This record gives sequence, structure tokens and C-alpha cells, in this order.
Amino acid sequence: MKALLERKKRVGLVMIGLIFCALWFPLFAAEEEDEEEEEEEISIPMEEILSFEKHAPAFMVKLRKEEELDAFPCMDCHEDEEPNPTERELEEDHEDLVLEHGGGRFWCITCHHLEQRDYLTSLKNKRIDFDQSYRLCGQCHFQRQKDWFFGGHGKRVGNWKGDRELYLCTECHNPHSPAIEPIPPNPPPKVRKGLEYVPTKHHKHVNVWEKYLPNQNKEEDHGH
Amino acid sequence: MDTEKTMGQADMTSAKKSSTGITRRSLLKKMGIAGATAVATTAAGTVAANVSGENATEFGDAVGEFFQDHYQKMSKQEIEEALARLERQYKRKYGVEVKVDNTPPQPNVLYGYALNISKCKGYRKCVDACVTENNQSRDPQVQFIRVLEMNKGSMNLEESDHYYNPELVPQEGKFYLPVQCMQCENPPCVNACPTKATWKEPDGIVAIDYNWCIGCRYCMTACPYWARHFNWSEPEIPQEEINPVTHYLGNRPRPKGVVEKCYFCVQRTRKDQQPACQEACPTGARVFGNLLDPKSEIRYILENKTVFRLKEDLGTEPKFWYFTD
Amino acid sequence: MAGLFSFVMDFIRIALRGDKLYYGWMATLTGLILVGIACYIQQFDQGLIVTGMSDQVSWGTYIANFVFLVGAAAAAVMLVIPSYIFHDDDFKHVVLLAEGLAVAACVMCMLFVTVDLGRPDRFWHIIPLIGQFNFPISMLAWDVVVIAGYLLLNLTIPFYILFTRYKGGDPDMRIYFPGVMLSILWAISIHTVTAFLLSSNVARPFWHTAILGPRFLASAFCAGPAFFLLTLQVIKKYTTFPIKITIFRRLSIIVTAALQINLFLLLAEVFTEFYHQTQHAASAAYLFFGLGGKSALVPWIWTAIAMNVVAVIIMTIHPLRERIGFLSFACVLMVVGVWIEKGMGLIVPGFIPTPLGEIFEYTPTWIEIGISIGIWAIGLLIYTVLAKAAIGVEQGAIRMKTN
Repeated sequence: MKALLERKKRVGLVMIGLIFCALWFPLFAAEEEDEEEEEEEISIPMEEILSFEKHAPAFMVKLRKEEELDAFPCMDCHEDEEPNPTERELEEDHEDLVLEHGGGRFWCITCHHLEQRDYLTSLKNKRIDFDQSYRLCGQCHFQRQKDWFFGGHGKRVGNWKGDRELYLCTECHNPHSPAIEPIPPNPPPKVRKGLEYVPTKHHKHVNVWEKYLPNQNKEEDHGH
Repeated sequence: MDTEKTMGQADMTSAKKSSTGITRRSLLKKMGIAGATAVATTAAGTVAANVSGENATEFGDAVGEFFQDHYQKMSKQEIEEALARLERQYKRKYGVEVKVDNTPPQPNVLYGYALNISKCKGYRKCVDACVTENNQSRDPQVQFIRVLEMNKGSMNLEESDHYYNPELVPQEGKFYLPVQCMQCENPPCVNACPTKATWKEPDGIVAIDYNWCIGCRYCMTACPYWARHFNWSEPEIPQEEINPVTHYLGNRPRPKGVVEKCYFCVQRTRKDQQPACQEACPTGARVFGNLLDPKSEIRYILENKTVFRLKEDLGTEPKFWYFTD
Repeated sequence: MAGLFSFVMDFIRIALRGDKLYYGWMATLTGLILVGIACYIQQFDQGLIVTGMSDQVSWGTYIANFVFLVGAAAAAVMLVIPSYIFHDDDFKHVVLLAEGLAVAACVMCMLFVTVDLGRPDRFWHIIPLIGQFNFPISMLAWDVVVIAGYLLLNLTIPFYILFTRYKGGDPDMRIYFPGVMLSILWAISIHTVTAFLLSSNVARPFWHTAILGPRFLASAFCAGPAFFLLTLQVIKKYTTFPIKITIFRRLSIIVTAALQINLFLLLAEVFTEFYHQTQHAASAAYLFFGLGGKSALVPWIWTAIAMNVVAVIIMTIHPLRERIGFLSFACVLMVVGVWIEKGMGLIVPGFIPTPLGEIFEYTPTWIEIGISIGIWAIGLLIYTVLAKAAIGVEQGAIRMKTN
């Protein structure tokens, strides 16, 4: 129990929901205690959490699973289904899903917990909360994860001082296709009112090595 | 002699004795009455002489504005009068209740900014968020941030394109370098200003008193980052787009004929908020924070990433760093 | 100060009196001044948007003329040195005229800076004691001090001399000599400070060079006296004021030396910029050859160089220089050449490309040109009045009536 409280402290808001449950439903307390023991076994133990997280300045995350995921909790649909780990054509609600992440090496259950669909899963098959998805991503992207903990990757929301709230990885990256697609830029600046913009004719930028390439087609000028 | 009376009241409320015992304002008053205001005296025959307070007239405010002292030299009361006067003037001009405050710098805070050029994709979201937040003139256009489209493999600014407008960004073979005021620790613009209308605040922000600037544009000449911009005519902001939460040294609407530039969103950052450009950036390329806090994000970047500053060889000590993943 | 009032009145009277040609000249100048005022009213009302300046090129015609005229003002010293220090009597005759030219140039300088201000209504902010004067840090603050001081010196010394003469006395050298010494140093300082105003900008590699100060002085000491030489010929032609041929000879020697040095310094500058062309040479490349397909200043700078080269050839060959027609022609070439080179040719390329590498050109608008012409007309008017009155006093046309 004490260990759990410690952890709650560290991950901040993530567990606030659970705390509320504990406060409002004391009737189920006995039952929950059993669950907690079970939880110890199936969730990532503290030893496996990278030390970066422990040493990073305190943070909380902008919660997503309840707020942003339309179909959450997943078990609403998956409860009655027999878990099927085999790769196959996805149907129904997941029909449109494109899984580019990992370049074909992943399948749903690489990241989603097979039995407990409301959770993600670690490589060692421990469950991970959707709102702690950074622990999942960090298994491979550990350098990014380190930066994220300390503020070199991702984004701090709202303030630069006080409670530190971070965007989860999935706020910006689609976990199934994480690459960011190009978008149209906002309009270019205007020159001073009353003056005319005249495009500059830049010399074509030639990298040093390109000068050594044979049959280099030498375009001298081009506008843009 | 209503003008005389106007001046007299201004004296009583805001005169400041200098060591010689001559009030600057009384000296100015003599000059003013002999000069410009003398012309106005006849026109102002019926103008109520109340300079401060609810019933202040446009003319009274214009006189008050003319004789307003340098921001750093004003007493607390003078500043309050100046803020109230500005609010009345904005109400008249834009029809909007604009709040002008002068939130002081926070102790033990020195602002710094770091920008990840491997994350910046050239969307220009920061540029427009900045314009909206900071009440910049839309037409003629003033923008604090210029995003340069650079050739990969080169840092030659002269080969950069400021006006890039392809269908999609980022373009192949290009990277993007946003430039804005670097809030230099050793700012050439501050040295250049002949009237001390621009100075470095204790939290590191290089501020401008738009009511003191004479518009000589020497600071624009001195700035190595092209960060300073001039109001070539009366700025125009649509009434519905006015941001009414403003700071005297920050985003309050500017008058014609003065220089302006980025001030790290002083109206937000002194209230712990992130600058508007950081908030708008969809890629998280922008990291803002307190350089004096060893646990801040910015310090992590400066201590753990390879960073560079633009034109560091000029000895300006910018508090704006660029870094890569 | 007995007689001060009658001195001023006589001064004004003689300035207002003249033949038809004089009235025609003054009327023309007044007309041009009115044009300038009309243009300025428009600029005052709408802001500097009526000019061709931009965030990219934030200084233009006004500051270019300002820089040139600081040189013209400083040039008066070239006449002060021989006349007061070496007691060269020939020079003494015309030195008051030169100081009049300095006064006119100083006034023009101040006007050009004033019309360049975005907020001329806040001019008092720069006045020491009542404003906030960033002295001694800001080079612009220095410029205000030295130009105002120089104007004061060039008003007081001639005033003392003329007023003493007016009263029929002989000016006491012990009184005016310290002032003269000071004004000599001061004249060098105004152009040095103006050069430093530009060369102190680390943001502008085109100006950020130690040679800028010497180049300024060299060009000032050729264009200034050359302009003065031309005005002397006008005075010689239209008045009875005796101007000896030796003055022309000596002045032309000064001008020749200054012009030769000026061209040498230009060569030194160009060599350093272009031998191993760094990115810092971009402005020079824009000026001399054009950059990024933009080359508005190229014809101007080559015209200026051609003018200066022709002038230096004429001035260096003695038989040519001795002929007054050639001398005048060379002087015109020099004045125009230096005006281009030290005016637009110096100010505008400093801004192109911008510190962020943008190549954006500048073209003055008609309003800017109108205001500039108006200021030149004011300067010429001041010079005409001062010269005419000074000649009157010198020739004894006006003297205090002794009772």
C-alpha cells in the first residue's frame, strides 16, 4: 500500500482517478486490496522504471484516455470476445486503422494488452496505463523518453513555472503511424505596405560534393 | 487659460522634484506653453481641464501623453496615471476595454529560450500566434518572428528564403530557422538608443517604452538579428481581434512612428505562462524557461544538448539558443 | 552689448536687399522650401510610410544627406587652420564665408535627422536634462552633442569677429583664438563621430570597418572645400568681394590631396572586401555589382567613381587645374561624386542584405526627394544670407553709426 502511494505521488495526476475511487468507495476496500496485490504482479514493477523518470523534475501529464479516446474503455466491446493474437485483416471499428509503426514488425498486441484491453502492455507483458504510454514508448525510444522527462522533447503545457504538465507522446504522434506528415505553411510575410515584393534570384545552392560529381547539370540561377 | 490650469493640475499630481529643486515638469510646462500648447490653448478654450480621472478628455490625455516621463523615471502614481490614460485612449481608438498592467519582473528569474531546429518544420504557426497575442499591426504588417527556409548543409543566411510558400512544409533538402529578438545579454540596440527608450529588464527582457521612443531607428540599424520593426504608419488592428490583456512594456497596441519587437510575451511570462509562440508550436520545438533554475527544461537543454547561438561571434550573448535532437 | 540690436537689424536689412537676380534666387529657394514643407506635412500626418524606407532598409535619403552634410560642415576647418593659425591673410578674407557654410550645413544636418524621426513631437526626449540622454553610450547622442556644439562654435566666432568689426574695432585674437582651436578639433570630431555612428554597428559589416572614419574625413576634405570653391566663384562673379586667385590655388591643392587620399582609401577598402570574398562582402558586392538580381545602386556608384577619377586626373595635372573652367568642372564632379559615394552609396548598402540575408532594395519616393530638396533650399538660403551679410560687414557696407 505504501509503495503504491509512493508511486502515485510520482506519477501525479495519472493516478488521481484511482485515489478518488478509493475515497468514494470504501465499501469495496477489501476487494480492492486483493486487486492491488494482483496489480503488483501484472503492472511494471518500480525497479523496471528507468531511473530518468525518478530523477526528472516532478510532472503530470495531460490525460487522454477518458478525454480523447472515443472508444475507451476498450473492454466495453472486447469483454465478450475471446482474445485472438493472430495477425489478420482488421474488421469493424478497426477497419480503417493503418499500422505503419515498426515497419511491419508489430501487431496490435505488441503494445496492447491481450487480455486486459483497457491497458497497454510492456515487452515483458506487464500492463501499462494508457495515460502512462510514455513508459511503453520509452522501451525503444529511450533517448527521446529521457528528453521528454527533462523537457528536451515533447511539450510543456500552459506555464513555464509551477505544476509541470506535459503532453503524452500520443498527443502529437499517432501511435499507429507516428511520423508527422507535411502540412501547408501559414502565409509568407508581406513587405511594407506600399512597397513591392521582388523575388530574389538566389544562386542554386550547390553542396561541395556536388561540384565533384560528373555531368553535373549546372543551373546557375533560379528564382523561387 | 484652461491649458495653464491643465498643466497646473498635472503638476500637483505628478510633479517630481529634482535635486536642484526645479521640477522637470514645470520647466517643460514653460517650454510647452511657450511652444506647442500655446497654439492649442485657443482651441482648448472649452476643454475640461481634468487630466486624470473618469472625465478625462481626449485633449487632456494628449497633453498628459506628451509630457509623460520615461517609464523608469515615473513614480508609482505617475505610472498608474499613464496606464489609466492608455486604457482610455485604447477605448477611444478601438472601442475595446483594454487592460494595461505593469506586472514587475519576478525575482530570481532570467528568461531564456531554446529552439530545436530538427523539430521546426516551418509551419509559421508561431508567427501568426504571435501577431494575434501581441496586438501587432495587421496592415501594414508587423511580425516579430521571421522563419528562414535554409539549405541543408549550410548556415548561409543569404541563401535563405524568407518568403517560402510551397504547398507543403517541410520541403526536401531544407531546414527551418525561426529568428526573433534574442533578448541579448549585451544588446547593441540598447547601447544605440539615444534616449534610453529601450533597456534590459532585471528578468533579461529587452523592453521598449513606446511612449518614449522617438523613432530614430538607430536600434534597428544596430540589431544583428533584424528583430526590430518600425510602425511606418498608424498600426491597424481589427477591433474584434484586439487582445485586451496587455502589459505596458509588452503587447499594448503601439502608436505610429515607434520601434517594436519581441519581448518574450512579457504580459504572459511574468504571470508564469508560456509565450504565445511556444504555445502555438505544434512540434514542441520551442522550450522556454528560467535560466536561473537548474531544474528547468531550458537548463537541461543547455547542459545536455549541443547548442549554438546565431552570430555569437558578435559578442551579443543572445539568450536564445538553437539545438538539435 | 551696445549696438547688438542695430547690428541685427542691419544684418537683416542687408540680407533682404539685393538686385533682381538676388530676389529671383531667394524666391526660388523659398518656393522649394514651401514644396518641402508641403511634403513634410504629408509625412507628418501619415507617418514615414510615405517614404521608400522599410524594416529592411530603415535609413535612406535623409540619413544619406545627413552624412554628406556633416562632411561639408567639417570642411570649414580646412580654411580655419591656415587663416587663424598661420595668419594667412588671403584665407582670412573668406574664412567667415566658410564658417557660414558650416552653419548652413549644420542646420541642414539637424533638419535631415529631424525629418527622419518617427516621432518628431518627442524631440525633447533627446535634450539633455529634460529628456533622457544616453550619453556617452549612444553614438547618436554623441552626434547630437558634437553637431550642436559645432553649430554653436561656428555661430559665435564669426559673430564676435563681425560684431567687433561692425563696431569699428579689431577682433582680439586672445578672445577668439581658444574658440578657433576648439573648433578645429571639433570639426574633426563631428565627422569622426558620424563615422563611428556607422562603424560601431557590428550588425552591419559594410560599415564595421576602422577605415570608415579616415574615409569620411578624406571625402569631406575634398567635397567640402570643392563646394566652397564653387560658391566662391559665384560670389566672385556676382559681388565686388575681392577673392584672390591664390585662394583658389591653395584650396584646390587641399582638395586635390584629399581626393587622392580618398581614392586610395576606397581602393584599400575594395581590395580587402574582394580579395577573399567573405559573406561580409555581400553589401559591397551589392553596391558594385548587384546581388540576387538586384542592382539599383550599381550605375550610381560607377558614375561616382568615374566622376572622382576624372576629377582626380584634372586636379592632379597642374596646367589643367590652373584653368578655372577645368577647376570648376572638377569641383562639380567631386561634389556630386562624393555625394553619391558618401551618401546613398554608403548608407543604403549597409542595409542590403539585411542581417538575416534578405536582399530588399530601396528607392526614395517623391515626397522624400521633395523634403530633401526643401532642406537643401533652407541650407542654401541660410548660407546666402550669412554670406551676403558677412561680405557687407567685411567690406564696411554696414557699420554701427557712431554718435
